[in-house]
Amino acid sequence: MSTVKKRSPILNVLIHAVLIFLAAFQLFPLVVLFINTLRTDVEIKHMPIGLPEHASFLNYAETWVKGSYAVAFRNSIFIGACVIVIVLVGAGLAAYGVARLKIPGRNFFIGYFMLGMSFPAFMYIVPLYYNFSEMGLVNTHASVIIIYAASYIPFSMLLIRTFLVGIPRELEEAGKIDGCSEFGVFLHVTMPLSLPILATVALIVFVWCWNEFLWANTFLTTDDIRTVSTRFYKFVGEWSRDLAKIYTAGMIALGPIIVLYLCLQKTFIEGLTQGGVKG
Amino acid sequence: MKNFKKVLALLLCAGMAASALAGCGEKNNDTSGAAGGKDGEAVKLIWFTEQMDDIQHERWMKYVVTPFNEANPGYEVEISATADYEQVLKVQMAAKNGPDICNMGGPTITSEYVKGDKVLDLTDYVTESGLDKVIFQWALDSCKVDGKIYSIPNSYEALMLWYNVDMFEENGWEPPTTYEELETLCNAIQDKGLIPIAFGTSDFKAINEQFVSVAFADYAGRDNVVKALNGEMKWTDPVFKSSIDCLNTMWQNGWINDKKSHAISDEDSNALFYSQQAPMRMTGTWQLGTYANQIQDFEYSAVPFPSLRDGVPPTLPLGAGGVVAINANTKYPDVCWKFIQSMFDNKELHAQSVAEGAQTLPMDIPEELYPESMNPVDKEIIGMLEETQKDLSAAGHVMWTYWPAETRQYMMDNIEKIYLGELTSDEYLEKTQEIFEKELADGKVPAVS
Amino acid sequence: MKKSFLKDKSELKRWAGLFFVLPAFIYHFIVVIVPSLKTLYLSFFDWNGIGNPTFVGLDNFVEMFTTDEVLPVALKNTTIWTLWFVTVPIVISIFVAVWVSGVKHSKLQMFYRTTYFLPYVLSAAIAGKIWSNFYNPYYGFTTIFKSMGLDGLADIMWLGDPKIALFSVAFVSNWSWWGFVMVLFISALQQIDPTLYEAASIDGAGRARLFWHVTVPGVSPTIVFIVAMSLMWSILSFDFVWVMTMGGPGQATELLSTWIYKNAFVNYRAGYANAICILQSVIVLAIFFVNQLVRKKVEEAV
Repeated sequence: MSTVKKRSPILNVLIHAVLIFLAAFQLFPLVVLFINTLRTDVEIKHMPIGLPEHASFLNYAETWVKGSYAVAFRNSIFIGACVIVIVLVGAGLAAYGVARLKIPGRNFFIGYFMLGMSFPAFMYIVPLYYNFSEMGLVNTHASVIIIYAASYIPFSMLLIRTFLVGIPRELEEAGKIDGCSEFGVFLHVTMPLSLPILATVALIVFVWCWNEFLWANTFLTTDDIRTVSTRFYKFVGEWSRDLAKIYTAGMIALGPIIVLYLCLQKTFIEGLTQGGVKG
Repeated sequence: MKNFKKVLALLLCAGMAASALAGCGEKNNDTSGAAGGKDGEAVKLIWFTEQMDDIQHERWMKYVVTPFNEANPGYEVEISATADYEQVLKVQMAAKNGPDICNMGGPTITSEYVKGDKVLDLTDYVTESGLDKVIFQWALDSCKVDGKIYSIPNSYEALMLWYNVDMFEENGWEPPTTYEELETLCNAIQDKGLIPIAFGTSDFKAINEQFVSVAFADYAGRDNVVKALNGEMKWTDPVFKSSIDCLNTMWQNGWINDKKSHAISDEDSNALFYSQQAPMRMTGTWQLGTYANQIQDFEYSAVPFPSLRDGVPPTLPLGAGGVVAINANTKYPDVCWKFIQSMFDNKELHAQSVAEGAQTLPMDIPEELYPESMNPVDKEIIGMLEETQKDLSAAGHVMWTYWPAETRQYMMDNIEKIYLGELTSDEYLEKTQEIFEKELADGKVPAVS
Repeated sequence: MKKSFLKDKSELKRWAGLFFVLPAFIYHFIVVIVPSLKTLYLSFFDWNGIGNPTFVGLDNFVEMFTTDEVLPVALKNTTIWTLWFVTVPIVISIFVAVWVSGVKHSKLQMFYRTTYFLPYVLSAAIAGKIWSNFYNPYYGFTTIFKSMGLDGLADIMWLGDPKIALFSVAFVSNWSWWGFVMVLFISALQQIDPTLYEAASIDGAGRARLFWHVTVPGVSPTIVFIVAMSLMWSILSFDFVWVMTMGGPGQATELLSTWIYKNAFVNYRAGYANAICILQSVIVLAIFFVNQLVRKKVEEAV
């Protein structure tokens, strides 16, 4: 690795400057949002951007309790976890099949999943609602878990497939020579190699479940099973909305994602330092 | 691999813990309302409403739901409030499901449900209960589809010109009643470097229809609008063209939010009014509760928008704020009706809830029923509403109650193009007429009187 | 399974491989495609989305290409939107992904990665509101530009000028989006064999050449994949436009998706909205075939 030429110092400084600028640019609206959570609704309604007269974290306490976020967090985490498991298993297997096995109709499956992603939710929400209510699934977590898993599998499968295509085949061949079955190779050789992409899929799928609004809002109708994404509407009245609490709800919803991101990305960093990829 | 297993295990644990805590996560509280109650258990009826905050929820419970539940043992009405409720309701009803009692945005929306036989015909209920004599005739009429009543108006509202009383007094301004007075006033306000009328539509296009409604009501006048809505007159008539041109002139003069109404949101325009950068604000009476909470620095009041043409009085565009209907699939239509009727039965309770910021039902409420504590501005404005509806000659029509859906959508999206010079009023009204004729032929336009 | 079995029954094995794909396929087919077919069928009807559809044959499709004046505008705007999202965020994120994974301090690297990704997590309803505030002509960027003496910039109405509004919203959507693309690129960067870099640098290749000759070919399947995804998603894109401008001013930011929504839920013309959905799917299908060709070429080259 030491053989790679060092970047010229000027370029190095420039790149760092760009990275810092981008970080500031990405963060700035979030900082404004955070400052607004310290203000009262009346202050925000009079002047949408500004510093608090008396900074206070009262909004957080009130939002947490009134929005019943404890329950909402449990619901969303449960739904997210279930969906991740289904998606990883379903999409992982399918991606391996399409990328590695010479199965008939490979291109058909790739094409199918690509088209499958493009179906807007509004195309199937009414028939699905009808079917689910016949089956007694409306207003259960199962309903959204089934829908999320189905609608996130295509992307996940294609992403994992793209990754697998780039993994050298020799490793798997070696596994087969060692006497592993097709499934054994999948489990003991391919999966560990694709760890970073699986972690990425898990993260993305979780974020999607966490933020999804349309399905959750339509299929989950009682407060005790609603998810985080639908909770900030608790502060929207018929004619006016409590902006301070809506902003606070937005901040609260960010928390768990940051934690999850840091957890999952650790696998990346470790992979990086070991693999030693430099750009 | 190990790391990943750890993460996965963690997630699984979290999920399982969550499911255990949430009572297994898999509940089936059937909110379809179609499920009946068992013996000894109260029958649950779901009342589906627009999103409401805690204060509104409490108010409805206190003044409507709880009294009903107490008076009717064996039945329990439950409020189910949801964001984007029209969209959710549509999905649920289209899937042959849905709540027992449902609020809807207006009579034209109900008429779409009537076409699918999704809501009950309430005509007999109304006449038997005598509600037709309680509810204002014009409001009930607006709910008729093919001569039958399918929904009951549960609020009424008007578009008004709100103004900052303190600023007006300081500067010796008077609320305008004619176009000339409006012109003088707006010029004076602009000379002070202020914005005459706060108005913003960037985040919600439907707000555009407020000024279009006002222009039609105060320039073309009530009678012409009624004729046009009944198909006896064309929207391309010169009087409507002049109305739109007059509106455009007001916009180009900067009276309507300094020619920036399309670039700021509704909340932003409220902010301009609150922070006294704009001494006037165009909006509806639904703001009463909000303004009472938000405005503490100055006195405010509201008047009808001035007459824009000689011979047309200053007119208040009136309309049903919302309606309530009964799902055709409900197992308990009689109880649902009883619930709706109960809202109109107790005027005293209703007066109290109005004093706390609820919208008024379209019925006559004697002034003495309002509690002493009621905000005087609210009382004055509600009084003005009641006066207007007694003699309808000064009552206009709001688009969201009387216009068919597609015409309405075209008009509110495209009026901005006129402001921005991308469309002429002739083109605008021709297209309006074209869509309106189609919808009239399809029976989508309610009869207007 | 024994080796001999594998060799002898390779044809059977080929078919057995289907068991890897079928669960996902059948699951998705039942939950998404089967219900959608009913909706597709309803595009041949005059249907308000609630009940009692009337068969009108191809009327909806005829209307789409003849009398609908908004659809061409929506198509044009969607094309501009799509062009933006297959270029700008992808270029930004690929460079940033390379630079960020080169940051040696691991805490700092984590900070960058988290920061860039965070906006994607924030709900569009709230992010759109905050950005609309920035764009406000009374107290937003305007104030900053004015204090800098840049009156030309200060006078721009970011969401009000029909020539600019679409780009203003795209800018915000881009702010939220590119961090997500970067996450995908970072995971793709990890599968590049480090020995390739070593070999290339022994040959005396500089930074730029390493980037073009090792990194880019290494992530090229991912690039093709992301371009395809971006095309598809930008055609479906809805949130930010709906929250910030609802397609306005006039029809300046009307997209296919917002026009479909307006027809289905504002105009109560779900049958017509479904017909536009079909047009959308046909466009996606066309993109897919082009993508298939490119994908095969790129992957064969790897």
